[in-house]
Amino acid sequence: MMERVLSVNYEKCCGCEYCMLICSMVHENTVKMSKSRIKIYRNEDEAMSVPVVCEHCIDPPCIPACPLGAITKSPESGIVKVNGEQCTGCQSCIAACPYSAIRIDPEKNEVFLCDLCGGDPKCAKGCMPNAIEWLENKPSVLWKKEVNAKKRNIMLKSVLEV
Amino acid sequence: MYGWGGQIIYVDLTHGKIRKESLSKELRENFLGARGVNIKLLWDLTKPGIDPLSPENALIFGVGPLTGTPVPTSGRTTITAKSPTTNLYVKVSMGGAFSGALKFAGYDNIVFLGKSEKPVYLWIDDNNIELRDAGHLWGLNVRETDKTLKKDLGDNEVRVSSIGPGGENLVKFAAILCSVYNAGARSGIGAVMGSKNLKAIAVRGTGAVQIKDPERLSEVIYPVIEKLRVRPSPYGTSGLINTLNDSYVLPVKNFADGHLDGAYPISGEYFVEGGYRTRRIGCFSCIRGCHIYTEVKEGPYKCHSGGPEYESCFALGSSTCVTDTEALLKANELCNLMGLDTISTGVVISWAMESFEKGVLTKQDTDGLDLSFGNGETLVKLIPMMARREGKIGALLAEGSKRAAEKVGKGSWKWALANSKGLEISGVDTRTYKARALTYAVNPKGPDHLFHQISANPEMVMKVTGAKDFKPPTTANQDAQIAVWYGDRYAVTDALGLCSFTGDVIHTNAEVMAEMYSSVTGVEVSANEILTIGKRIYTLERCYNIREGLTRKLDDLPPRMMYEKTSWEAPGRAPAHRGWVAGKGSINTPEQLNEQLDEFYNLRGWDLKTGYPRKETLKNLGLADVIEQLEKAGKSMP
Repeated sequence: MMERVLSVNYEKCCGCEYCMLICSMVHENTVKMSKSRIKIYRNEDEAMSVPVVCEHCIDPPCIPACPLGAITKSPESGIVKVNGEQCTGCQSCIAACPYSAIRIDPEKNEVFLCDLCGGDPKCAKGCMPNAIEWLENKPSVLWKKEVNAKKRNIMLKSVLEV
Repeated sequence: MYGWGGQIIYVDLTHGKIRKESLSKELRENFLGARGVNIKLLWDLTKPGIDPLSPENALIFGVGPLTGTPVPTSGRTTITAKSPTTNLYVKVSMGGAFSGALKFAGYDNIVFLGKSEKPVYLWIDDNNIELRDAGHLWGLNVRETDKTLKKDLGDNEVRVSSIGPGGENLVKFAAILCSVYNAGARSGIGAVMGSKNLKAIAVRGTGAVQIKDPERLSEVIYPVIEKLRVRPSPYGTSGLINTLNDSYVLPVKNFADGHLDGAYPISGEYFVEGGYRTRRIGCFSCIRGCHIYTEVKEGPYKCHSGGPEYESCFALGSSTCVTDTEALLKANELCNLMGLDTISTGVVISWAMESFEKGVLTKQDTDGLDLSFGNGETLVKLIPMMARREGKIGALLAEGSKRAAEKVGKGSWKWALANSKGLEISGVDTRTYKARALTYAVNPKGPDHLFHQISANPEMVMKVTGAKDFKPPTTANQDAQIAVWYGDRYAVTDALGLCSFTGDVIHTNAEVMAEMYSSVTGVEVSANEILTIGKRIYTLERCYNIREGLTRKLDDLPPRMMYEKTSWEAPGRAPAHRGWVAGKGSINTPEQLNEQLDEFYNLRGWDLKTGYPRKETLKNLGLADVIEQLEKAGKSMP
């Protein structure tokens, strides 16, 4: 397993979308919001911002959902990966993801996922309010991470309903 | 193209015609973007002497070449026009998320000319741009406008910039807002938008911004992030209230005093302790997120809004002596919803309160309202009346301090806190911060805190001025050098689309700004070269004002600053602890201000008598064509 995990707490998010900018630049060498692995959903009136990114679940529901077996989880690092060449863009995984964290590249018609920047996530590095943190992988952190993910899910629904 | 979107949108509202033009290399490299390109366009597209509320005025939105890149704080939008308040130049810098949407749609600037016959809004959907009927939006407040447009367009991610009733009714201190609570305010920019019958701009931008050298950019931004990280501020700028009040330099009671007993409830600390401040809001790409979000959950003042920032707390709070937290938060929300500049709103109400106290205004003039200092209920009632020009008092105050005082007469100009340019002063008592006096006097839009800074950092001041001893900003010494130093850096910061609230990490660090600009755009510039561009922008703004009739005489301060001492200097009121401002209060005498101006003009290469930049100065900045145009406009250039 990775020594650290990405922990997201929407209550601290200020909605600046900096994580999306840096994510796109790091992975695509260009800045395009639809190419970011992380996405902020916002309700501007209530200043509510919800960052959504792959949780790299312990038992990811996207893996059995993929009819082609294009999604795998590395037993060593715990990182969930999509094999872009195999992906047909059917979006079954998007429907299966409980966190709405899988995004589709409209140009390539294939889904993509957070890769934790290979162990140095730039979104966490740039998040000054500490809404996204790169924390030590230990039971207390994992517990908090799960609670936050669930809370975030509820808030996400209310933001999307606006 | 790297960095820039590369296109300008021209909207002819009179004929309903829209065209796109490419942003020329000359504009890009000589004026960078945002504030820089905006002033050049305003200079080129408007004739001298126009009525600011006529179709001939231009309303120009601009974002910078760094907007849409992972440069922290690069999400500012600059809006430029001729001001109906001062009849001079105005630029405002607006936070929020409008900038990113515009950039990702592929544009750097939008220029509105003419006047639409009926209310309209501009809908920019990447490449497709159209003017749409806004009949159903006219009269709505900013929040309702934002909600309605998102619903009409079926997309929650559309970013909207709009005016409220204030702009529609041509209030002289109307603002333009985006992301509901981020105001581009001061000097009536919202009234220019209203005069064009333009209610809003809605943008959906899904395109890309290209970066020339992402690796080189990464090398600059990671250290910048680390440096920004050490300055979190839970109170936002509202955390200044207690500090200034304890030092007796907080503008209180229409700037008559410097201290207000019991002002704690209108401070950032109390917003947090009382549970009013619930989260922070970050402007687009700003990891600092200094803006606060406040809520009053129940009662007559139930509200939620962005802010109040320090300036809103002083203007609507300490200057009116209103210390009721909930009334202040409600007043702040109302200004945002109505689309009014909180500073001018508060300062003009303070003038009215003092006039009421002195018997110059009576209940007959105020529609029966009790305008006593400290009356929060009146404050909350007045704001929508001003925005809609309702009643005698609403109509009077909607004209701003200078015009209202002219109308009322009876010497009320003496306590109107606007200078000869006609803009209400922002929250600094220049009698105490004497270094500020100069920067307020020479600011092209009027006595306002942006455009220059002062510094209480001895190390920095000594480095900039080369002096061996440090004079604090309570003295007028060394201020001209500091003002020039900051002025150029402000222009670069604004023109690149950056925020000026980053201190020496980005804002005053020309080396960092030049390196970021070069890595993003591929245009190689040194720190000195980028500062020359800043000087060029700053000087062209001065020239615009000269074309519109500015003379040295208009570089002054509100009368109270020049002729009246603050009341805390009276015997027996000397506070036990006033920090480094102890005993330094007095007035900004016109003689002292003149000395400051002489020094500043000399450093800038401007003529001492007229305040006009000398021909040689203009030639050195590549503004030779400006000389000819000013001479054509009848100005004899030194």
